[in-house]
Amino acid sequence: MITCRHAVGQFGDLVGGSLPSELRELLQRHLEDCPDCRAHLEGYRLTVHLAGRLPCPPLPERLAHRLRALLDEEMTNPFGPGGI
Amino acid sequence: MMPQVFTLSNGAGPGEPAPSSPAEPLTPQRVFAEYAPRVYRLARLLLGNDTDAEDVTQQVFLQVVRKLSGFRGDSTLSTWLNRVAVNAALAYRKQRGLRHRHELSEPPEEFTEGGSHVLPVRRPPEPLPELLARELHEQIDRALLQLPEMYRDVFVLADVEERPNQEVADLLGLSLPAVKSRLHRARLLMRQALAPYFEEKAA
Repeated sequence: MITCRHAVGQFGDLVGGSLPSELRELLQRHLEDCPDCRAHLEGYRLTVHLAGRLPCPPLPERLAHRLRALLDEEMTNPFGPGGI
Repeated sequence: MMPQVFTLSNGAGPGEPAPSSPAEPLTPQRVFAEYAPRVYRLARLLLGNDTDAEDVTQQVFLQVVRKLSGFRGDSTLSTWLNRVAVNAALAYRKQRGLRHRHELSEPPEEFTEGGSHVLPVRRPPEPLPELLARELHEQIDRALLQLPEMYRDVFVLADVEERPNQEVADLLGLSLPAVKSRLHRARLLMRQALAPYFEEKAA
């Protein structure tokens, strides 16, 4: 039998797929009886899930302009990557 | 004048934009179009502000343009760019002595002496409404900037960028156990930041 503190401590390995099977079984039994840990795990998983889908906003226009100018300059530099 | 083109193997990893076709030549312009927003997001999350992120993104792309011809192709472009971007951001932070006020410190003590939860735990709604998902993304963005750097760096690389733990360890010069420990604490802090949006009682 494991405590809630111990159960939560295993969430990282559980989500990462590296929890040993014996520990996974103990955790599973605990989760079946503990709605707080189930809720905690759902929130934990959701946090990871949302982080991986954090939107990638478009570049600020002034940065995009700077980068385009930088690329143009480098590509036309006779001693640079785009030159002879 | 012909642009330099470099052919890379199609090693699309998680979160990596897929090329139009396998081994399609990449020009610096295509690298810019496909990767610049992600590099900027990474720099912004690691540095905590837009201005510094713009400077680092520019530094990174200067390296991209100047060194792409020497790219050996033994790792994906995404992994290489991550390494360059992370190194540039961390060096920039160190050089500037950047310090941010952290609102989120250590994970809250949620357990009694006996190891049980002190309070009922809020659970997220299921299914997650689209509007709530957007709010949670905004909250993640805000909360990330309040994380101590030791947690933020790991969370950004492991969970936002979805890099394997070993790669995160290599990028940050940490041991694998240190990455796992910091990542777990970061997730607990981030979950805590999202919890006000969850329902009040566990099912």
